[in-house]
Amino acid sequence: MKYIVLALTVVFSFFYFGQELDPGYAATRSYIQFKDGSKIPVKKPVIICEDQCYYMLRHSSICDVKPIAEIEGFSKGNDVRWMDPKEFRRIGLKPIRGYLWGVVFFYPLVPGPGLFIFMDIAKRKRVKRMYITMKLK
Amino acid sequence: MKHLFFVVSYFLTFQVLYAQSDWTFKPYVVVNDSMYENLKHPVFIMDSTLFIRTAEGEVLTFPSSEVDYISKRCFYKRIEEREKEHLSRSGNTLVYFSLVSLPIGTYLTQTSISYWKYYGTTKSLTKFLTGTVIFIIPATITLHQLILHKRVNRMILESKGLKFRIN
Repeated sequence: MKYIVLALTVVFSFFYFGQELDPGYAATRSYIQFKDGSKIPVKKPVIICEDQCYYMLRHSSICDVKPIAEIEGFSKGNDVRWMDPKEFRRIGLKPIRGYLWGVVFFYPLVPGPGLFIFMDIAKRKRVKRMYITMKLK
Repeated sequence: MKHLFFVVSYFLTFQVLYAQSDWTFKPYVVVNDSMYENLKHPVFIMDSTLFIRTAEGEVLTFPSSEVDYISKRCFYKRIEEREKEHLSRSGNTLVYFSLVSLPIGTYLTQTSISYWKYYGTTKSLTKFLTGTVIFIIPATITLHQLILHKRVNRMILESKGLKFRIN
């Protein structure tokens, strides 16, 4: 029985890659609303730096940038951060550290701090990716 | 009688000083001879601009050269270049540690009272100080700072015309 469950889990996990974004999909979780009324689902965090809004799309993980003049607002649950250009550059160029602390805290110590450290690392990686992608454009 | 006189005069002096200062009024600022009252915290100056949030929740900005007076209860602060970096950082891990520290500190403080009965003053005082000085006070200060950072961040973004929690 357990092998069947395992096999089904593996098979269904491949379905994730077959998904396509429905254009009529209404974003319900964290999203950005534009002044023309359109909404796009985004991942955390969203960066505001020098009148530009940097974000990563939830489904495709594509980084994009829009001027904040086009943006109406942000939904509940968004992690929107105002960032100084120097700080954005620093995070974008600095190597990400802290994996070891995350692992050590997760096991054998209490898993809570480890989880939060990994969450911070994931967000930092996204910021870094946004910076690099925008610089390459 | 003499002691009573000193005590009464002390409290009267304190009362007079308190009444004369602007501690009796809610936070307010005077900009270009117009007064903005009942402000919410934080009130801060960044890049020569004063940021305030009115009681209605509206964020207003003024050039700091036009500001005439900021009341004491605003506890206003200047955000320097170094503090700008702190604003954009995530506080998830710090929040976790603070929220864990608070119950630990409360437990130690509470048990120190029962220690006092059975083990004497020194041991209970050590436990009490450990609970308060090492756990409760740093955790409270950290949480307060993180909440202020979040509010400052939100005010800067709202001053650019962005809205939050839209449906």
